[in-house]
Amino acid sequence: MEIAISVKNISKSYRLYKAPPDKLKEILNPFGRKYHQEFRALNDVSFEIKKGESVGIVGRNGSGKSTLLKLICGVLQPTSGEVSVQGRVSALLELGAGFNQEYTGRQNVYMNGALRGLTKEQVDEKLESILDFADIGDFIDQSVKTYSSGMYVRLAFSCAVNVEPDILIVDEALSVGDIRFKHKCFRKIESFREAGKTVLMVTHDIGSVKSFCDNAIWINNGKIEQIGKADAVVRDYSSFMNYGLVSKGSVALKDTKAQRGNEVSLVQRGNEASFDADIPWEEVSHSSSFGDGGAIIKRVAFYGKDDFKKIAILEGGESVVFSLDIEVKEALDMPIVACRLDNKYGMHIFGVSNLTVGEELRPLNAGERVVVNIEFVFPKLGNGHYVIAAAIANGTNQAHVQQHFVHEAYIVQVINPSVAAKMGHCIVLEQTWISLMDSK
Amino acid sequence: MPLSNRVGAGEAMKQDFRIFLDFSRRLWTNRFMLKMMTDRELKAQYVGSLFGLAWAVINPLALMAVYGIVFGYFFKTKPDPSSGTQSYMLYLVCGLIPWQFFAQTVTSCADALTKNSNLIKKAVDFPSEILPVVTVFSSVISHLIGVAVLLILTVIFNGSLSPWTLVIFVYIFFIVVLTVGLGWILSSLSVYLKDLKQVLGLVIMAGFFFTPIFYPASRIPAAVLWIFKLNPMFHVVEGYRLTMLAGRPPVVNGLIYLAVVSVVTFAMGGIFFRRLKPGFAEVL
Repeated sequence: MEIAISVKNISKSYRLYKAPPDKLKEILNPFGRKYHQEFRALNDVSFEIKKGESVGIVGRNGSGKSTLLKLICGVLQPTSGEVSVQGRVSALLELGAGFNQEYTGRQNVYMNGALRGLTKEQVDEKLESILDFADIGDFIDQSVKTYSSGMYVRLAFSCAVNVEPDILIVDEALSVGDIRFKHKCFRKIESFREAGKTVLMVTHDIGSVKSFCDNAIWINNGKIEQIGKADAVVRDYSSFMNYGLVSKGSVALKDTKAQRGNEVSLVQRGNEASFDADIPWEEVSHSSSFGDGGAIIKRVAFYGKDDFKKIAILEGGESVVFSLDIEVKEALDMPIVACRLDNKYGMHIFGVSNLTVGEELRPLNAGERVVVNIEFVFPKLGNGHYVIAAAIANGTNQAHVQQHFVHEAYIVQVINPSVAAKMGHCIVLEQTWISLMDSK
Repeated sequence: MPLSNRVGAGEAMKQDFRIFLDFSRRLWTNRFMLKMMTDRELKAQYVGSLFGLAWAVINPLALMAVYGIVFGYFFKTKPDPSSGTQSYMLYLVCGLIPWQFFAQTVTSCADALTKNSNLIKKAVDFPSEILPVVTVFSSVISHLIGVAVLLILTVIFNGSLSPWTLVIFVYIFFIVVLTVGLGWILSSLSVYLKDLKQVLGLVIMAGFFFTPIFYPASRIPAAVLWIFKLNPMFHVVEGYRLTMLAGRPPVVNGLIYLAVVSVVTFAMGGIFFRRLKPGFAEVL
């Protein structure tokens, strides 16, 4: 396979000055005294992207993603190391291509074409499809400074994809487009992939990395934290972002081929270890909570029923366990233990408790420490983030007193590659049929 | 050791030459963009304003009126007896128009990159070297309009035009070469040195007084004349007047000096720009 982008040991540092005059002082200082502090935006980063591959770059704000893209585009020069790119690059850097603010949309289209080495005639030919795709109507003859950010990115994206690049680089640009335009863009990116072109995108939308990228690179503090199959990288990145933890067994891999599987953590679990020790507990003390305090939920865990592996992302349909580690302060004669899943709008999707299951828990004694496991099959839900709340109460369904209710005990993300999950619906139906019949 | 040093210097010069060649080639490959941006710059300057292109005519006339009243009427400055015209106004405007062209072009070139930071930072492979060239080209068009006004005035005051007038296009060519070179140097420097614009303003102001524009070169003390002649614009102003007003051939030495300075500045400017270019996106 041909290599499209090769990055070898690149580093990029910026000089930071406390005040502008320091820069001048440094230039003029006869003893070469340094007034700057070095900031390393990227530190010894290497990877290769093959032709036809589509790669997502993830990482939190300020981790060096955009700097990396700019180095690949040649807009910035690396402090050390080498970047080589094979083929014509088209890029949307930092919300929009290099448009001239004073020019009209149309003039910018021509300039953009000229930038990519097209003649006026060639741009003329493509103009219709560019305008069609951007779909901004009469605004095309207004100067782009009057554009909304959405219109701006529509035109920029349209220009970038319609000049037939070999490599498309998209930096976070699509986040300002509306949902319709996003879909249009993703369809375009999809057709790019099918045409065997290379796509490189930076995004905070984990779902699109999972669905559009073969591989992913996770950059943290200017270094590659992980590189490999998109699913695996996204899973670990997401748990890092949600909990500030790198899941156990995660190592920075330089080798694209090396991949981590479930067996890694299975090996790590000792056979002799007690049941409780296997549960991937999370502290909940940081979450907001309320209650009488007769019992305190110390930790919770959400994991696969069979592999005991902590779940940050799931598809739906898995057998899962939600565990609560409870410290009992006062005796509770009719304890109720529950968890509830809310979507990002705060809508209650489902709840499970010993009442819904129809099982009575034994009374709890003061000073006891217990673990309650709630097992269920996770339903097929629409893609997005979900919050799981955990609670312990005492009483009956009609009359009970909350002892401890933790609002955001656990955050989990559903990413289901099926089309139905991407439609923004709450529930994804599994067995559906559609038939067409002739009416007489 | 000295030998290897010399080889090194030779290599560096070869490399500079290659940079220069590559640079000139890129100007050619980007000609469509150059044309488009120049069109657009001109339109921005003149379209949309009330009088449009008329400003290109009004400006030199207004300048002529102001300077003419102050220096011709108040100070009673007289043109060179050899200049071929008795009209101080015509004499003045003949020096003023090429100077204004030079001064304005150089001043706006210094801004060319900082004004377009968006393109430099975000467009892949943007040939930023064309930005000062665009500025120069669009001022040439304005200058040609000024020259047309000048020709009409010459016909009105002198009654006829000399065939030597055509030589001013040679001068225009070299001013363009010179200002593109200066434009490259100034625009790339001003990315790093914000104070450059202030300094440039002072230099241009001084240049106006130290170039024989509103006074004849014969008023310059002979002892320091050679210093004045280092200024390439000295020869341009002299050349415009000789060919256009006096209808005489240009001073060959002056023209050769201008040509050499222009071409050297152009080449040095190109190399200079090329060397500073990699850092633009970071600093802007």
